[in-house]
Amino acid sequence: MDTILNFFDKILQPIFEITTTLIQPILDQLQVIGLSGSVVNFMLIAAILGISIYFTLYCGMFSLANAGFMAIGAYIGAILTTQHDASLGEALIWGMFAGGLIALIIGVPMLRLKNIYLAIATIGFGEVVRILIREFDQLMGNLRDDPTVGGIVRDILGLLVEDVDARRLRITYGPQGITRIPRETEVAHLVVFLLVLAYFLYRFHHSRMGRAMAAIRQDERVAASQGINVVYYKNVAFFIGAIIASAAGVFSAHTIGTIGPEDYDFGRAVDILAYAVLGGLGSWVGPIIGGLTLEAMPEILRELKEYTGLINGLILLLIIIYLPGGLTSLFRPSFWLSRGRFDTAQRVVTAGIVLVAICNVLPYRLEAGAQGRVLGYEVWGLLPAFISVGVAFFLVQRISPKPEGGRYSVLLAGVAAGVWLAFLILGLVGQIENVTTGYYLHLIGMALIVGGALISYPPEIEAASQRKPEVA
Amino acid sequence: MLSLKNVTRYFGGLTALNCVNLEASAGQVTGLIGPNGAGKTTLINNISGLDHPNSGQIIFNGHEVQRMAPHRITALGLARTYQNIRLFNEMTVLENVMIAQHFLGKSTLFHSLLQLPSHRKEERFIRQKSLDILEQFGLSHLQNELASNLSYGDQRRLEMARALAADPKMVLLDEPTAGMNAVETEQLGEKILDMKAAGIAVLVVEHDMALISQVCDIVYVLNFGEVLTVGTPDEIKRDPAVIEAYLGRDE
Ligand SMILES: Nc1ncnc2c1ncn2[C@@H]1O[C@H](COP(=O)(O)OP(=O)(O)OP(=O)(O)O)[C@@H](O)[C@H]1O
Ligand SMILES: [Mg+2]
Repeated sequence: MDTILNFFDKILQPIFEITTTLIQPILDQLQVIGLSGSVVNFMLIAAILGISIYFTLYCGMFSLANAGFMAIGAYIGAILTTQHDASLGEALIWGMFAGGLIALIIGVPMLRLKNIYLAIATIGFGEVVRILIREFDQLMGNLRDDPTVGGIVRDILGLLVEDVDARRLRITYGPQGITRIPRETEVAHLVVFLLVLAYFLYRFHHSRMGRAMAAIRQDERVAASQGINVVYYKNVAFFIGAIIASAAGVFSAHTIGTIGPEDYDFGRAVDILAYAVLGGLGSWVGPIIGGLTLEAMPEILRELKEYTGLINGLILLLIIIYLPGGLTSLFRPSFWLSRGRFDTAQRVVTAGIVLVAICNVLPYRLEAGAQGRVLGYEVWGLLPAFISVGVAFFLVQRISPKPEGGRYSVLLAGVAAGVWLAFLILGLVGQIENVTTGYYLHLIGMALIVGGALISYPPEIEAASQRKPEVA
Repeated sequence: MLSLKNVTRYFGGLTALNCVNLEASAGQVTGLIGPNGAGKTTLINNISGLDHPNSGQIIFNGHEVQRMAPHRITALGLARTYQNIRLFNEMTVLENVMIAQHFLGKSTLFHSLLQLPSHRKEERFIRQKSLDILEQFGLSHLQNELASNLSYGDQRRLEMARALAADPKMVLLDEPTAGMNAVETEQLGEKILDMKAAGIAVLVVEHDMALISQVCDIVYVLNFGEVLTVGTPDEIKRDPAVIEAYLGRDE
């Protein structure tokens, strides 16, 4: 074991060093918008967690068990590094091993369930893990002193602690949790791990297994009668998700330095789901983008930190309603082009509105925008005006009858943005030297709105949609 | 090839199949007709393992399959289509056919991760074979289209192509011509006769008597879950009991 680890160390150390140098410029950029230190670690860990749930979702299983696996990884890893002087690498291997083993054991009975029933069972699993961790020392103490099972329990505990006979066992430290965990996780570790995962995912999609899991998600019964062993693949997906979540647990414990059972509650399970949903399940970039974005959000919006939960919730809600394919669907040409010109226009306008809205918040983080001024106009002063245009856009769209509502709203947004754009351009001509990145993004956003409004005219005649005959 | 012995299936109080006996052999097209709700789809589900009989025996290719999981029955050489088309809509036409050859493949995720030659070879082989099958069904120009974007007739054809992709010994077709016009129906009949010529056993559920006469060697008539009569298409058409069963329903 030791020789193998040494061998890996020899190979990996230079890789980590090279990675560290390569990502330094990116880290410097992130620092400008307020993302530095352990925040970057947490962003990357979130991306890893996003991938962990991606596997189960990809196979059509709604599992919320990954917070539990994260806890298992975190605790096994932390116990090994704090009580056994293990290295981060060893902690990682054992953490993943433990998570995987438990996934195999509970997978077979649990994955018979579907949909909401599976969700509830996996939430239950997470809660059981959390409570077991909290009561672990007490429980094990009692079992150890039990005359019948004492022997076996003692052997198992021997793997975790040196002093099995201590009057009070100290393994998970109950509700207080484990403190003073060495903070050994480096950004380079996470980047390399994530890159390996990304490659794994990329290949997964084009593999026989990936196709089988996609088939199971789309129609389990048909997949089965195409010769796919549904039970087997569901367990494999659950297992892969579990070991990845466990790894994320080990990394996060060695980033924060302190862990407690409450870190892995239901809220965490929902966060993990949110990473995947926000990013979108269409491709492997989805969960990565989702994890990075959602974890970075509270830091970027530091002024609004107390409303983090609210903002994250709102963002998720909007994404689910308006972008069911997640953020990644924005990068697909088909998203913009497939539904006829007017739909495209509406989407372009919406994108512009969102972009301008983001710019109105971001200038505080972008270079010279830190003064909060864009060419003499107070950004915050413009914001209310802009929000009212945005709100009007969506309201008109909702309230008035289709498709006129859409047309009026696009027209309205286009005119408002056009006026505003004129203002900004006039300002630009005067003070060209003060221009910031945020300003350019702002201009692009505005141009999108105006452009979107323009391509929606003249209104095209809706093509009669080709409907397929329904069959009973 | 396929033999059902006293197959019975209840749903609560309803007897969907009652002591059904049926034989189908290789190189023969067996027809299965009957009014709506007669139990035809239930029968096909029971043979393919998506549903299991309460009692009775189903022997396929020398194996008792009445309790077997569907993927294992498929591996024995059974393929099927569905009454209401069930394609993998988020996949391309080509992928839909490739999926059907899943169980023929051996490469695992690790082969794919390391891009081992055996993996590439297998992928190439599956892809090429799928393209050949699409060609046969005149779908190759649509290979990269999402299955959900296909026209209705093309979707039916794709389902058929998918069923044939795994070199089955027997194919179950559940109303393959539903929603097709007369020309398309006849073309599909030709395809069924091709299968028969290739030595495949075909069991086809149909309402269209023209197709039944075109392709079937023997026809089973099912009514209220029981086999009413068995005979050649001509015998069936003249059988008063069959005529009554059909006239008895409102349509
Ligand atoms: N899963 C099920 N649960 C309960 N009842 C069912 C189930 N599947 C089928 N049935 C019932 O069994 C009977 C036979 O249905 P089946 O679908 O096999 O008929 P069919 O011959 O295929 O009819 P059709 O020509 O309309 O396709 C029907 O009365 C149906 O309602
Ligand atoms: Mg039917």
